[in-house]
Amino acid sequence: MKISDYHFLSLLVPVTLGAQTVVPVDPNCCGNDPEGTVLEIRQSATAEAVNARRVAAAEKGYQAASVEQADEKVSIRSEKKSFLAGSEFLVGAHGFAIVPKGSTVTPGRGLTVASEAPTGTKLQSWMEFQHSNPSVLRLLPVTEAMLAGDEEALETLAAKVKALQTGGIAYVTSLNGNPVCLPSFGSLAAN
Amino acid sequence: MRFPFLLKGLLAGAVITTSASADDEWTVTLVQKHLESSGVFQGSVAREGSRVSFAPIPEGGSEFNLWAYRNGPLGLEEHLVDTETVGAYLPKGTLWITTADPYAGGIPRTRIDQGFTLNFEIEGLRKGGDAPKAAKKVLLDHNVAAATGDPKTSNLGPEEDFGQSFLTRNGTGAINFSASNIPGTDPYNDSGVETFRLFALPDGQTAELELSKAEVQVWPMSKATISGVTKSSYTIAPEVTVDLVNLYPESETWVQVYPGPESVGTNGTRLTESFALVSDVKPRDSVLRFTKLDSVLLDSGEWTLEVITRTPFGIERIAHTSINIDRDLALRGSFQALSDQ
Repeated sequence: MKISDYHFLSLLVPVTLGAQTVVPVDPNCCGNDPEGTVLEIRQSATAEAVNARRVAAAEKGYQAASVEQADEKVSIRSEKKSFLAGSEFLVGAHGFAIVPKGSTVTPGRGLTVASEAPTGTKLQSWMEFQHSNPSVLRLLPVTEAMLAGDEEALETLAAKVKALQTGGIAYVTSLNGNPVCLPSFGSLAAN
Repeated sequence: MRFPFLLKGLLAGAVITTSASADDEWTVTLVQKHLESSGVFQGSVAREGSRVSFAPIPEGGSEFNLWAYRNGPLGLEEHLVDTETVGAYLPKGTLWITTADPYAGGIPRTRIDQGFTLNFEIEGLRKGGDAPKAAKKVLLDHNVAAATGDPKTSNLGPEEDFGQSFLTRNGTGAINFSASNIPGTDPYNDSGVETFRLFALPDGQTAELELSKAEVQVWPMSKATISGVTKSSYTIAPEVTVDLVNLYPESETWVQVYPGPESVGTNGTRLTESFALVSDVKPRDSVLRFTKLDSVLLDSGEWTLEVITRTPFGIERIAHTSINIDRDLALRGSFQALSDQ
């Protein structure tokens, strides 16, 4: 074969470098998609697009059929609820009980009313405390009229409480045996 | 410690049902407070059973709080088990949030670029001039709390007011948010919690009684950075590193390659050398390294390498790069025939 006369000859000769081995790819990799599953892949949104969406969402506000915009800010009065903060502690010789603050309306011998839980003494249930202080603790039942805030009924109760103040017996206002607070009488708990 | 608490309103009182499985050292007590007038009632209740409320429920309503308390090693401890408000003219309402993420482990979660729906159900509202103020509308209060710093460390900032509106009709409804309202401009890092509260307004002006609360946890978008591709073409495929930041909880992320220029939506060849599976409830970072790309980038030419992540919001490409493989041998030279010499 005669080689023609070329001044420049440029050939691209494909060359495979080394022996290549196809690494088997587990089709069930990464999520166990069955072989042959075609996934719908979309481009993730850019930061600019997301921020624009956030602004639009904020400007849209609360749109729904039964929603009315608040023209002025409504104040919210909320206090952290606390059972203990709303209670006072009746302390006797054998332990203490927790009652609503202000429910102990007259002081008694042998019992103290504290605003904080005492330490080093046993916590008793209301029933236990009553049974262990029979001579210095009485219940003062309230009526439904008093509960409803009836002034005449409350005045009657106030007069009764005043008369019992110096008797040396601790009276706790109660309803059906359970301690109840009518705030108009204030609390005897020591600060 | 679990204390299911059911409250059934009656005309005059309420039947309370309790069922507790707490340790014996805890005492369960029910506190009933009249809302408009004086009166706080309290009494121990059985761990299981039902009873009528201590006092009749007045027109203005009563709030019932079920407390558990004990004398613990550090003193008296209290735990609010449940709370319920009952009243003749007090509206009732429930809020709940739904997102595209089916996660049911705690509060609902979503991503900063994804929306969510605030659902509500209201009853007890009344119309007409003689309706009590508390019965005419309820307040929907919306706060947001953005995380400070790395969202994975969960340092939540204080709640800030976002907005308020009134719900004025009984029935169910929904407000759709097309994206999160967490403040910020970096969707790859912004995260936080959005809180919605429903309040009754006993005096028509001041919100005082919380009827319901719903929260949604918002996580940032994921980000991927591909490094190692520094030259315009390679004879031997480079080692590629993929840095992944804030992978969404319970997501999976992998790398795929395919010949040719990038074309989103292409199902390429997934690389099995490594992939990231997040099984945590918080976002995670990860690093993937690929050292044997020659075994998949078989032919010379342009190849596309993509980072794909799968979340409840879909399958997305979050990064891609191009790798040019050039293994062809170019011969340049001149030929001179022997006869010319």
